[in-house]
Amino acid sequence: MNKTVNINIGGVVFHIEEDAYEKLSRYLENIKVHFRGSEGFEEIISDIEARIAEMFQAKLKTDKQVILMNDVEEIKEAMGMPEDFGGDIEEEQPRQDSSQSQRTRRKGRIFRNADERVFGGVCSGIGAYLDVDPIWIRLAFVLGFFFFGTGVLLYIILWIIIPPARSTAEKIEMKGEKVNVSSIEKTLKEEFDNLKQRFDDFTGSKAGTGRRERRSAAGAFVDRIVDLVISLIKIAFRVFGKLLGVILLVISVLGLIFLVGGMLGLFTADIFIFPMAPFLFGSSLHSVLAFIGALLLFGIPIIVFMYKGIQFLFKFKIKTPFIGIGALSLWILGWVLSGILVVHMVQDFSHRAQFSEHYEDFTLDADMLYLDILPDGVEDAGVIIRIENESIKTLDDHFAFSFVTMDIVKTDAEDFKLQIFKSARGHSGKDAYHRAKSIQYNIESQDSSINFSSYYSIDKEDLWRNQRVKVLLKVPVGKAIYMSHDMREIIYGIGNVTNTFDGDMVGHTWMMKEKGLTCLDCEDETIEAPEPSTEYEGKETRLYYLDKFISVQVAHNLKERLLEGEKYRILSKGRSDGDWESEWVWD
Amino acid sequence: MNLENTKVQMKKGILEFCILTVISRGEVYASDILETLKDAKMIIVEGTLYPLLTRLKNSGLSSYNWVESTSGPPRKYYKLTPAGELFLRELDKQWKELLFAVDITIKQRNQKTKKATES
Repeated sequence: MNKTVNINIGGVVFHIEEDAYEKLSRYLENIKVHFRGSEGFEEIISDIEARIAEMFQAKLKTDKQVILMNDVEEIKEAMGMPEDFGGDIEEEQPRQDSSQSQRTRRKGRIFRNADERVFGGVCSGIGAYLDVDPIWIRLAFVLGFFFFGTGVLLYIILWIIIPPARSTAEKIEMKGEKVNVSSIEKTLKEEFDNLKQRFDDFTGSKAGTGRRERRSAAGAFVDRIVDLVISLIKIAFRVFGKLLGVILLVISVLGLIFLVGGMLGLFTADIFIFPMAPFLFGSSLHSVLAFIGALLLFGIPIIVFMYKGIQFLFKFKIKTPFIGIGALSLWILGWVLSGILVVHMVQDFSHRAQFSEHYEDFTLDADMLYLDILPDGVEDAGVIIRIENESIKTLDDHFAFSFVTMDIVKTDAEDFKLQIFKSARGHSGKDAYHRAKSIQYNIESQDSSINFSSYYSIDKEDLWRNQRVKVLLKVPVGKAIYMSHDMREIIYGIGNVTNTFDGDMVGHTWMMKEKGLTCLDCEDETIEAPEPSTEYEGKETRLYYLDKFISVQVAHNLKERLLEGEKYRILSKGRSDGDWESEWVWD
Repeated sequence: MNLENTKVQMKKGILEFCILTVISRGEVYASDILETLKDAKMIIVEGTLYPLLTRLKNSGLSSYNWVESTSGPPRKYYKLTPAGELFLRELDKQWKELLFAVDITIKQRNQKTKKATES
């Protein structure tokens, strides 16, 4: 038992088996594709259909009422394949037109092949277009998936922008005309041959007819040159178009990889380099805004690039006029969303508040304090982000910032005083104050030593809103401090009598005098005090006059020599080869 | 030179000539023309005929009437227009000239080969 369908062909109704019907309609489609664009297209088709109806009727008898597969086969045989009856007939009249239509048809269009699809038929469509087994295209897309899922995105975009092959004509167009590297090459070669022909014509005419008919030859000469230039420009544009297509595609694919990679990095945190996002964007609203905003802002241009690239490369057009407007409005939406986010963020940073703590319960009545850095437990934990000398460490539930700054100033009070200032920003003063207050910063003290943490931590929920910690140590006149070498990490611009840099202040004992902090055990202080007198005579000699010193240390590659003299002098001699020699003259 | 091409070129004009000749018989419809042409082995597949018929009609050489058929769809019965008659007459003349030309050339060749074999 077979299913039959009813068809109306040439105004007559027939019962026809389903598979025979499929075959017949494919055949008629083929014929239509063949005659499309030729003069009297409709009439030819209706004539052929009428003839088919007639032949069908001849096949039907009282005991046979259904058209079968072999009937269709026989008709096909009698009528012939379109290739057998078309081309030579049309050639005569509009020769140029037909060759042109052939040419444009060869380039073909790209379609999605819904008949052999896995998802949207994109791969098999491309495969048909490039005349490559779809399996390779699929493999490429699967590989693309591992580049942050670029393959998937590209696939979806292609799915959207490539039309499906709906009619048989489109299916034939999809499969019949191959465009691959060699066919592009062929087209270009034809183009160049054509050009060469013109060039030959041009040179030939110059040699042959140039003398006899100078004037008209000159006219033809100009014509040919114009012709030549025009075809050169045409070729240049064609090559340029293809090149542009390739460039646009490459840019868009790279952009896509960066975008998707960036998105993953930004919003899944901890995997990639930038786990700050959850600290920056507190509410889920912000995250969503940032995500969609960035996606639209960068994604739309990428998609447009890709679309244009494909268009340049494969020369297919989509008839949906709103795609440009849609892309533009989505892009504008991206700007709007990003704008809203920026406004929100700016608001969140609009107010600043400070919260200060005084430490007075320490034994700050000592004559001298030893300042050191707490060994912290976060050193090898989490992801470390370095910004110049400072670092941010991310931990499970909080951030550790190394932006601690410490200053030491004079006080008129009798005892040491230690103050911690914590500051933060927020959308209101209150918000900022709460945030500042919840900054955690540790100081430990034992006897006369105080240990500072080099980090302060922020709870993940508090978000990063420019939280800062400042330590202020007030030293009374006549009392001293000693800073360990590690203190270098937090001290910042501490004023002193000798204008010694922070880095050189550590490891020394400093006494607060009326003028300011004065070093008690800095040997190099006296060297820096007097300006050395220098002489240049191929050699460089520096002479330091020093009054008092306890010991002399020579750094770098200086050699020491002790000599007798009237005064204490230190002579350092430099040679052009970079060696320095210093003489110690004991006058 | 391409053999197929030359054959097709030769056949093309003659095919039009033949079709016009068949139509000149009076009212004929596609199947009649097909039958004659198939007997004459001028066409192999039927599809060739329809674009030609359309073109002849469009260039004003032939016209048709619709005639109801008892056993199927209405048929187009073709006949020549006065222009078509004139056209055919010219073709007829041309054909005779061609025949003469081919006849002469072939005859002369045959004579030469005859002489060559005799001497």
